[in-house]
Parts: sequence; structure tokens; C-alpha cells
Amino acid sequence: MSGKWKINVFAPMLILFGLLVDGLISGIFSEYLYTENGNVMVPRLIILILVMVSFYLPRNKMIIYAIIFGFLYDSYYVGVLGIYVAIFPLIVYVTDKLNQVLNPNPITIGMMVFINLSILETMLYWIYKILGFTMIDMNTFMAGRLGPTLLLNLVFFIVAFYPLKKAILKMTGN
Amino acid sequence: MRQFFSNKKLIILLVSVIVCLGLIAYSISGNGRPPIVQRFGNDITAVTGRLLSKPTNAVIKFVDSVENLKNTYKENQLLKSKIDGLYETEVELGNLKQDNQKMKEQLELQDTLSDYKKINGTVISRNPDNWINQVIVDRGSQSGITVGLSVMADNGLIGRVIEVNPASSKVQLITTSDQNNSRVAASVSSKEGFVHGIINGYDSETNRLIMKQITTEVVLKKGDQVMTSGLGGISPSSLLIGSIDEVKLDSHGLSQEAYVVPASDFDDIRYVTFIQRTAESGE
Repeated sequence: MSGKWKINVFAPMLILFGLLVDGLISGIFSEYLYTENGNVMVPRLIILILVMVSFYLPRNKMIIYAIIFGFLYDSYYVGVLGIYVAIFPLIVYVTDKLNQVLNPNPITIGMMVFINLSILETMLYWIYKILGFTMIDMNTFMAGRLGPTLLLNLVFFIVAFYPLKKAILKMTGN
Repeated sequence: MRQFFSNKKLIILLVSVIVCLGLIAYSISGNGRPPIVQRFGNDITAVTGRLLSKPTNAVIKFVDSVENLKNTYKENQLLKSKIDGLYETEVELGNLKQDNQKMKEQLELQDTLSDYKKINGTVISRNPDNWINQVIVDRGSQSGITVGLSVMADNGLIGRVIEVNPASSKVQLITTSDQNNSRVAASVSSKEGFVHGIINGYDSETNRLIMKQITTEVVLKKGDQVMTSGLGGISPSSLLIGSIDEVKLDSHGLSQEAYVVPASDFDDIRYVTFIQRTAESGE
């Protein structure tokens, strides 16, 4: 019983941590992330954390967390509400659906993170294109944004997967 | 399709799409002062963010200072050679300032476009998805920040404030390709006097700003300095933006376009200065 209480406090803190660290990384390492020729690597630790945490919490609770933190992400970073609010719950939903057919091991979890990242980036691209914040075409987006972003987050995944898993397991009491 | 989208799910999907579109429409038409719930949330997040960014900045400062220590000797030699000239310039500058002040008094000028106040701030975080280039700074309306202030970093203009919370604010960089917000009234001081234009657009492949609507009657050289003209109504005049790299005719052939190398590095922004001009904008 006490383990459940722990994860309920720990999960939102972990997601908030991911949200803040993303902003911190992009602030400090921006000369390496946003390179001269227009390539952009977006740190997305929060997606990794959302996917990992959603294995250990019931789906409906995760969707509520996703909506809250999506709202916070919009409000804090973007200033335009209604973008991440829509996409984060979708990511939790897709993870849950994949979880029903896949056996969770490091490789499949990594795959889920990648699928979710691709969904996220593509939807963001469409939304920002419709809103008129960008004018790049699909090819430039694929080569200059999606590819580098996936690559950076692969590194994040390799580095952060086991520590995260250990921390979450400790908090659930297993 | 029927079993995939049961009726209830379809309704939830529809409602959430409508709600999200409504939210987007609502917040895009906002005026930079978000509702109280959002301000509260932003500030709480900013304070928590500061807990993370303070120690990181301290570490970076330390690493930087160690790196600086290595070139101290060389720099010292260079500075020694420069310092002789500096004293003369300082005296001259003091004289000029006094002259300027006296002349202003004689003319009974209150504020000129080049007078401004400075407020310093530290960057807490940057918008990770780089679609809208924004940084979040730890100064807000409590420190006197208002929407639309010009923001400098290092030695050049980087953008303007687009949203203010009590203890934090969002700065949109001029590299953003948002047509409504990223225009800056600029001027070039060339031999033939001031030449005016508008900074509007950013070439992300070569990292240059594009200055448009320059008259074809003047000849601009590579290396001419571009600064704000203060005629846009918000920013004061003579804030450095960058230097001209290339000049060509625009696609209609009616005016010139200049490519400007920005004076500040948009990819390394840690400390910023808000510039509040003292002259009234008359809006």
C-alpha cells in the first residue's frame, strides 16, 4: 500500500523534472543542438519518462497527468495553449495500446519511444505549419528535424533507461 | 471502423479536438497577459526551473573561468597595448557627454529616442522544440517588464518580450519566422547618412538576418553597422543589431535587401538585458 502512495507522488515529480531538464538542456547546449545549417535536435526526455511511467500507473490516471503536464508545457514554453495538451494524452494512449500487444523489454520500450516521438514531431510540424510559424517543406523537416531529434533521443534513451527503470521500480516497491 | 471507434470514443475525440482548437485560437489572439491560472502555473514552474538552472549556470561559469585562465597571458598583453588609447577616449567621451547634456538643456529636450533604462535578467530555459524561438527569463512584471520591450544579449539585439508573468517572462527571438512579431525598424549609418529599412526574416542556413525595404538610391558596403532606428515605436534607437554581409535587389527589383550578420550569438544566450526606452511611444 505504501508503495502505491510513493509512486503517486513520485510520478508527477519525475515528469516535471523531465519537462524542466528539456528546457535546461536546450538552453545550455543550444549551440550544439541547433546547428548552423538548420538542423535541429530537440531534447525530449519528457516523452521517455511519460512512456516509462505509463507502465506502472493505470491508464486513466496517466492521461490526467499527461493533460496537466501538456498544459504546463504549452503555457511555460510555447505560450500557445492546446498543442501539447492534445499530443501528450495521445502518446499515453498509444503506449497503452502498444503495451497490450508487445512484451515490454528494453528494445520494445525503445521502439515505443521512437514511435511516439515520430508521432509527436510530425503532429507538431503540421500544427505549426497550419499556424504559420514555419514554412519548411516535408523533406527538410524529415532530414533536418525528425532524424536528428530521433538520434539525440536514442542517446538519451541509452543513457537514461536503466537509471530511470531502477528509480521507478524502487518507488513502486518491487 | 465501427468497432475501432465506438460511439463514446468518437464523441470524446471530437470534443477534445474542438477544445484544443478553441484553446489555440484563444491563446493566439491573446495580448501577452495570460489569465491568472496560467500566470500562476508559469511562475511556479519558473521558480522550480531556477532551482535547476542556478547550479548549472554556476558550473558553466566555473568551467568558462578555467578556460579563460589559459589565455590570460596573451589577453593581458593585448589589453595593455589597448589601454593607452583608452584613457584618451574616456576623457573625450566625458567631454562629449557633458556637451550633449548642455545642448539638450538648451534645446529643452526631455527624452530623445536613444535614452533608455536597463534591466538585467538570467535565462532559465529555452523552448525545447525550436519552432517558436523563445527563452524564459527570470524577470517579470514585478521588475518592471512590460510586453514589447527590446531585449539585448552580449552586444546585440536578440528579440522582444511577448509574454509577462509576475516573476518570469518570455522573450521571442528575432530569428522566429513569425511574420507578426519579428519585425524591427532598423537603420544603417553609411556615408550618405542614415538609411532605413526593416529587419524581417531570418536565413537559417547561413544564420543571417534579412533587412528589407531599403531604397535603391544608396550604396551599402559590406561591414556597415545595422542598428535599431527607434521609429518602430517600441525600441530605442542605436541598439546594435549586426553588420551587413551582402546586399542585393529584392525579388521585385524595387528595393534592396541586405543580409545582416547578427552581433549576438542566438545559440548561446545566458544573460539578457531588457531595454526600456524613456521616450513615450505615442501609441
